[in-house]
Amino acid sequence: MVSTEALLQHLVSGLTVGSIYAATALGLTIVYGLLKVLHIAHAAVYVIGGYAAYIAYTSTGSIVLAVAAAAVVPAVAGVVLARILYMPMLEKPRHIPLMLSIAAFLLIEELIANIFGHHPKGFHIEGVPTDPIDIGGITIRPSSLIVVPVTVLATIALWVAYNRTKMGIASQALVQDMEVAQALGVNMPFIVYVNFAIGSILAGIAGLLYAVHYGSISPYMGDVVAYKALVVIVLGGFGSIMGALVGGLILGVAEEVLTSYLGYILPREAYAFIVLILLLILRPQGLFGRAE
Amino acid sequence: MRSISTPKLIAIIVVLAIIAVAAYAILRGGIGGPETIKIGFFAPLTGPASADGIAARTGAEIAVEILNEQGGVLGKKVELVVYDDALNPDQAIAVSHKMIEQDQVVAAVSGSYSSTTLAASSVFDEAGVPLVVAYAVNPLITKDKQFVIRVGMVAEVEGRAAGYTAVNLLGARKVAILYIDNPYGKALADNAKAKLEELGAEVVFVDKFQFATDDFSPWLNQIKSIEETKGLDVLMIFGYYQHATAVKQARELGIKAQILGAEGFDSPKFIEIAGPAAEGVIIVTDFDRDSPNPLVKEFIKRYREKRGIEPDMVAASAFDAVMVLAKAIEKAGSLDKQKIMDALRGLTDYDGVAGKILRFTPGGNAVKELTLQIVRNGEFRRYGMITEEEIIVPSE
Repeated sequence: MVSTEALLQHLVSGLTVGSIYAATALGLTIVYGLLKVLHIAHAAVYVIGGYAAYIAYTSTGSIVLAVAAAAVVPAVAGVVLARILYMPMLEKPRHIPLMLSIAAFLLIEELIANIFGHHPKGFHIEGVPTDPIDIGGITIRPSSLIVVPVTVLATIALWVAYNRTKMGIASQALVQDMEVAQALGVNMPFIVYVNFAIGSILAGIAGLLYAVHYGSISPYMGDVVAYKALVVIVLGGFGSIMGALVGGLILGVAEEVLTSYLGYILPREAYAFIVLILLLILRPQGLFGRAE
Repeated sequence: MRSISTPKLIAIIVVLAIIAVAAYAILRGGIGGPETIKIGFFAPLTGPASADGIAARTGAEIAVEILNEQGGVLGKKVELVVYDDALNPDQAIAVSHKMIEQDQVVAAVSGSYSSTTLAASSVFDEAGVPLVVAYAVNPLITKDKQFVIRVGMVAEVEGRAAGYTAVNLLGARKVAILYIDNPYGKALADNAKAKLEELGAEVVFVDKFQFATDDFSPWLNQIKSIEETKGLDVLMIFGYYQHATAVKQARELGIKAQILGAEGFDSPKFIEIAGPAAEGVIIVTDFDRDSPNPLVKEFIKRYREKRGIEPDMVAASAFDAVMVLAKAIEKAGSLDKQKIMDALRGLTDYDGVAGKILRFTPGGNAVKELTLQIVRNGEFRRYGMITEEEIIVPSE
């Protein structure tokens, strides 16, 4: 009925889109684990990454500077957000930082729209190939060969950092019990900022990956990512790095396959929500999360 | 304080009252005749469609400039009263009321999409104020309305023209259609499909996408598969400039078919976002960059000066809407709204920037020549013209 080739074709596309979701969700899951806050403004950091890269690339023509900008500017933005929005609200009920986060997200998006224009901008990087690549009868877009490996490598690097470095162990300690960890000497604000910086770098890079894959950036490109990254961390388990990767990839593939074969029933975005609802009913802790 | 006698007091109050009312009326342009002819204008100046809104506004502004340089209309300067609808129908209704009741415009021009224009059109029709629609394509905008007229293309005509172009001009036998899930896309797709089948071509794939779609691989993978197994001559993509990424993705997936779009792609933003993949894409539209009409050249020159980018169909249509309205007011010889409307309906042979309008149908839609434009070296150029009556006359 449906050929293996066609399915594999869909798989590749789904993994690519899923990687962009995963890259964004990685940062989100780290932050949630630490501060138990849904950092919606993370989606704005993602947009900042895309625009920082765009400005760097169009003014210098250097890919290296574009990547650096996509990492550094979001890192600074993320740390600033942590300092202003979340650190002062650690003792408050959880809905307060959440509301602040949503407000910050909307504010940043509108600022970007007003400064850079409301409409999307074409963003094409010369040197990134655009010819289709044929592997074993399947056609792969060259951007897929950038997006997927970068995300997988980032996930592995993150996992190693969290489980094999002092900083990573200290972060895990803070996640488990913030007070006790501090009492044992963990420098809480510093570790939190480092985590925010790392998470934001990932979001910024994800924003650049989006531009590479789609050829444009827009002030509102964070809208969809804002809720899809949430779906991913619910799917993968809050605080789980591997969960963010696997969850993202599964969501990307599910969307692709369901939209192709059942697209006439529901729009694509609806499938993300259906996955979310089913997950919350069947396995609320997500694939890799611990049951509370 | 010495007291003033009662009769004197009354006289002073009455005089002050008359002065106050007169001042107010003069400031509002009511008594003594308006200094300017106010034409209302609304478009999505903010939000995701703002590139089109700003382009349309610029087109309208250029028309007003040229009119005023030539002495205005009925001896008075034209003033454009501009509002943002943010592509929100509720906001469009609100600003329509403002234009009609507060600004008391003589008539108005819509530089906006169908959703907002449809909402506004009811307000203007009920108030008996003429509304000239620049480029929104939904047939319901003009249907059964007394005070709404459209200078742009209607979706039905565009879709038919796309089908005709694919088979008769591009020699297609197998066609795929991907369209945006709204009345614009649906009307284009339905009419294209009908024409294609009438002319003997096979529609091998039809599906729709949401406005906010960025990843087109679910459909493009299927289309590619069809191209490989059954063959594909033309891929019709009916969307807006935001969906130019679909063209980039199609080429990067190795789809080789000729890509055919419609007026939604008529924008420098389309070329910007599609990047190198835009090369060779053909669109059905009404703005011919290579038109011999000197008005077109003048328009392009002024637009480039104002914005530093190329003009597009929405700007050209807004320009024509203002010009057509001005002509009608001159022809009517008065600001009487019914007379202006009659003059609009009776207009013929307007050789505008967005093509030549031959006449208007009783339903208020333009019968106009269409053009095919192709992207060559990153610019739209003329590829062909469509002037056959059987294609270009709207059914209403």
